[in-house]
Amino acid sequence: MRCAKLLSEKLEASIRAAAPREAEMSPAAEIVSVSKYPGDFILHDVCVKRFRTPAAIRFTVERVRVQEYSLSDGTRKSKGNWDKVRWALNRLYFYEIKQTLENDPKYREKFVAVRNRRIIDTDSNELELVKRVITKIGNVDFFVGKLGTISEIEFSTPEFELQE
Amino acid sequence: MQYDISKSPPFPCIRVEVGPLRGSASSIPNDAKVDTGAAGTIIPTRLAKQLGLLPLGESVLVKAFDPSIPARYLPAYYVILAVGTTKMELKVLAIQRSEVLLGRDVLNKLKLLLDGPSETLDIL
Repeated sequence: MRCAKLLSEKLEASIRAAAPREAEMSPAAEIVSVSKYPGDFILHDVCVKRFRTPAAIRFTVERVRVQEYSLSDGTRKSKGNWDKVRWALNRLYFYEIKQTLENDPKYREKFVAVRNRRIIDTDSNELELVKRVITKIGNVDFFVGKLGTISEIEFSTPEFELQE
Repeated sequence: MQYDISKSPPFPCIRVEVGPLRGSASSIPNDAKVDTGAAGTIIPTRLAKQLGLLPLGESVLVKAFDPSIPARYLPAYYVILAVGTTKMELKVLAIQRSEVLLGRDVLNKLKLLLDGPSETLDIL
């Protein structure tokens, strides 16, 4: 519990340091609260607020309490970190829009890079996409998802164990 | 390079260098196990942290040795991996382990000589 509290305080400090301008804006009505997150870990109590500016809807994280759980036994796995939270939010956005993109012929079978609730680039070659995005915005958090067919990679070796 | 004799029977090992695709962090040398049973390459999570790598996506479903465990997504990282004089850009997974696991995505780009009786591995 103490660990989670410390982490929460650290994350909140990071948010304030990273987004002082957004904090000055008036919040819009919509607050998205993500209480459970499917995948390798579960994020609890991520409170996200959207701000409407004249130009666009801005997206900031207001309050974060993170705990990471192993899905196999329900125990807490690690403390998590701020990059992982942002990555998870990017991932969450990808899965929100995935179905819509899959119906759009423009995106069919493509890799999509997502950051701050925006599609920042697409390509049919994942490596080229990743290199281009990193060149453009640096080594920062973004998520790359695949639309359409997903390839499977098999580890026929006892050197690799996948937790249930 | 000598096989890892801490395993029985000894395991073919090689020295590799892993670095970020972009950025200022320099490559980190690490021992790697040669494993033709692995379709992909795995790096230790410790190494991913040292290099400041961020996970990028999960565009592959990962299936393990045990068929009773369903395939699932794992976060992927992009790195530059150097084996001898060969450098390659590739997607890797990261799990908690001590050494890199070189899978067929890397091995199929190399000519290696496994000399079992001498317990040595050479890049040709």
